[in-house]
Amino acid sequence: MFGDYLKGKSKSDSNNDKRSVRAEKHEQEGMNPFSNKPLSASLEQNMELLKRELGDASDIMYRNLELENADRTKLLIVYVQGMVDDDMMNEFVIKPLLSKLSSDQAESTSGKFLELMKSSLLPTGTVNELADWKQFLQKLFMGYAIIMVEGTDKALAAAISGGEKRGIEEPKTEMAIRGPREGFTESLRVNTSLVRRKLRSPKVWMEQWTLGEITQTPVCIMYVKGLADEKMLEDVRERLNGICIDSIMESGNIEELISDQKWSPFPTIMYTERPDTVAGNLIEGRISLLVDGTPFALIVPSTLNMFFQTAEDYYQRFDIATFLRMLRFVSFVIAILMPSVYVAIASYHQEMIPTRLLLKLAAQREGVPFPAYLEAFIMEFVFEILREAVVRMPSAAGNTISIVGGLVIGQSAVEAGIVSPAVVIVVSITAIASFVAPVYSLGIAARLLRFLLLFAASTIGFYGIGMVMLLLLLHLSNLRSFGIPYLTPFAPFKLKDLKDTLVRAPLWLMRERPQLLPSKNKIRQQTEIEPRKEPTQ
Amino acid sequence: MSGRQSDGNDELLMKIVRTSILLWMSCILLFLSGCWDLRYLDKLGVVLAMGIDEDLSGKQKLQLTVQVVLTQNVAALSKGGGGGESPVTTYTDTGDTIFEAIRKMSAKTSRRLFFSHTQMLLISEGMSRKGIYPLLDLIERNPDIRTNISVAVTRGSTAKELLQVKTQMEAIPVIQILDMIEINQESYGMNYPVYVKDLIKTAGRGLMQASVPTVRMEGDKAKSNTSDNTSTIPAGAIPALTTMAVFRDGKLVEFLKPKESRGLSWLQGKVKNTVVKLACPESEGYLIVEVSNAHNRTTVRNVKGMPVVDITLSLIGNLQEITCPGIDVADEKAMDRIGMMTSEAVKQEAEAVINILQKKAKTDALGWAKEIYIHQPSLWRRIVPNWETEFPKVKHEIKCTTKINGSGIRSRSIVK
Repeated sequence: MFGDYLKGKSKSDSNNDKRSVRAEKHEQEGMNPFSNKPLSASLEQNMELLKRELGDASDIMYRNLELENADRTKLLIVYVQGMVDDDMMNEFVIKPLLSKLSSDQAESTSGKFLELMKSSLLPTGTVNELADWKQFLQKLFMGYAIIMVEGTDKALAAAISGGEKRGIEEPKTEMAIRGPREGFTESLRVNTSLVRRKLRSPKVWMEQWTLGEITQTPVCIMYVKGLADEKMLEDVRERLNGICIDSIMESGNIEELISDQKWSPFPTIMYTERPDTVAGNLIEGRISLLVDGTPFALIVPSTLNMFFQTAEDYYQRFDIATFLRMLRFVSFVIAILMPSVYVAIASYHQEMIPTRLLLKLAAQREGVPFPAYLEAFIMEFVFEILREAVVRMPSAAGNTISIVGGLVIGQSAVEAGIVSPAVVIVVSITAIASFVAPVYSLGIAARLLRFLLLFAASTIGFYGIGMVMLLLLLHLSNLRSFGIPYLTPFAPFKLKDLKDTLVRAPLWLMRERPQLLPSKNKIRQQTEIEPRKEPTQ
Repeated sequence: MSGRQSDGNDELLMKIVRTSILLWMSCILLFLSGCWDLRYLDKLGVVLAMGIDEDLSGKQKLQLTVQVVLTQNVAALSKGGGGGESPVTTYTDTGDTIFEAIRKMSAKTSRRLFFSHTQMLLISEGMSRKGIYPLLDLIERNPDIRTNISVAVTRGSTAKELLQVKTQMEAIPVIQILDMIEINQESYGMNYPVYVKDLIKTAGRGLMQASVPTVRMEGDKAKSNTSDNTSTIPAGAIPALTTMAVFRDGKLVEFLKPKESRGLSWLQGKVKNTVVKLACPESEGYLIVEVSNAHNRTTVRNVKGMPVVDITLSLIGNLQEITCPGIDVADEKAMDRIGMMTSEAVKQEAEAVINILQKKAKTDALGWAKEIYIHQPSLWRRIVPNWETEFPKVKHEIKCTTKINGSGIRSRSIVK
């Protein structure tokens, strides 16, 4: 087991930074014309070339050193200010180099000095030897300090990257009452470590990629060896390989580029801000993509069912978790259907509701200048405006918007008789229900679909709603996420997987991993564990 | 290679054909299925009740009155401070058929009359005697009108007058009549709601004749439709239930007396809860038994070629009131005796209605023909051609048992 681990590590070391073939080709053609040239042995020349090619960028620092050894070896240290840790720079690079060398160290010639530095002079965790400009630039912009020696056409990169970054905070978009409170940050290394801390197994493997020609964004494929399907992994690699774009700013870019279905309001790749969600999904045999610069990790393959699950479901008791699951499904249906059902009833199917309710609705509609569908459209639209405003505006203005929005729309519009109270109620319930969706991207899908259904309901009533729902069902059953049908385990039907859908079965009953993933390693719990009734003697 | 190429083409062609057929089919589906109609909620006049009278001028067959909700006044009501405006109004027009009258009414209404929420149909005594089936055809035939409309016959006043009574308990007058029938069934059992669909069933093979509750107006008729009616305590005029009316072949033949009316309810199994009054056996005063559960079973025996209808009634009750001394409720035998007295009283009511139906009305409102059909089909086949003459001759036997469960939270009566 450990042997595997070592092998895996060395393998991932050897092709440390994978990148797409096409991107590499592209890059060779244009972006860095000198990148495949070797380094020069002369410090002067190297510095000149760098300054010329990098436009003498003001954040790139050049530090010349002259050592007190026999050869008076000259060194040049290049780094990007702000991306290296200044303390580490002083403590682990400059200080050791400037301190008195021992006698045999002092005797070494300049040709061997690089070796000497690499082996014994730089007390940093990682030191890489660089042969060409391509590697040089890559390391430079990853926040390494690069040390060149006069008379040697090689350089050393010392990992002292640092600089300012955000600390680990509570995930802002996925709150949990019970469960870990840490969320991903913008730093890839921090993020991988957060997952690693949850899965301390040598089976957790990571593959490092670099995507985006200009952004050079580090991306990490994370999976549990033996649980993740090799074919699917290969599929993920292939899709990443196909990416040839100048920038990857956020995991959303990757999501859009590699998802199966480009034309769908439904997300086929889930994202999360929570390390425990990633860890849980890795254990179920899924694959995670962590992207530097964003706290949102991607999880593939994703089925519709997953968008209704939260990490908390597994920390709460199963009966409560089941109730909450059902609540979420119902809320999603409400979020999609409520306005359109109201419009259909108010415009076409007045006979379908109890008489007293009808009279109340009719009384409210009395004197309202717009037909019901227009009214619903207007109110839904106004709500969307409000919602967007609340997200975008500076937080200082928050109260203003809520007061103006609540008063103007909720009260004044009704009192003025421009809209009926019933529509305000319907829109409010819809709005609240749409926020129940644990994953925001599904909530957005509901927002779009709501308008489609509203349109169908206002033209042909329930019949239209039925048609759209049917089309939606067709569309959903047509969706795939990395080859896995989007509606699994409902269609195709997997009986065993139903234990983690509408219901969340007790943990002691969930003995097997999801059937939908083709992994062979299915058993979660080896023995049949059930809660003990009394302590065994 | 070329073969594979053409395979690909065929496949593509098939795909296109299949897709276009599907598209075409869904387009057709859109236009061919069902009927739909855009009606704005605020452009509807919701009709809650219909009343049918004879055309007084005699020119046409009937006069239709509809009670329409005025939603703007309902809104004012729900916000408090009604301002005395009535939440409903009525429109009246004549016609030879109902539909004709309805459409003629459009000359008077600014909104389209909407019948899907109609709850009540009042038919005047005169129209009922002429026959109700011609009046029900529209309701049964039209998909927009429900058949669970409650039906009542009016006695002493026209349906129009009854629909125009302003009521105090319910803002919408017809709700008062509608709920009155249900409440009466639930607590006294003398009337029970009868719906259009029930009447339509009786129109079928003549296995059972119709019976319908009757409404009349109590109080000062002249004031009934003014706001004065509700501004006084008590109201000047109110609609009130009387008894069930029985029909023969869709034509009203007889209004039952109160005792007979409840007898009908007993035999139809419509009693949900009622009270039975008994005279105290040894002293002046009364015992009141509340019957909370009544169950009846009807079978038919064949006795020498003639059907004998066996009716078994089993009741469960409680003593609710004792207005005479000397009744020891702790004594089980006394309770049994009260049970027997109750049974006897109920039996009398049942006998009374059977008597009047067989002797006077000569109409099978109890559905005995149906029972014979179920239990003695051979017998039924023989006697059904002249059921009208056979029915009065059918013998019956009623068995009634009552179980008295309790006597409330007091044992001995305070009456001395």
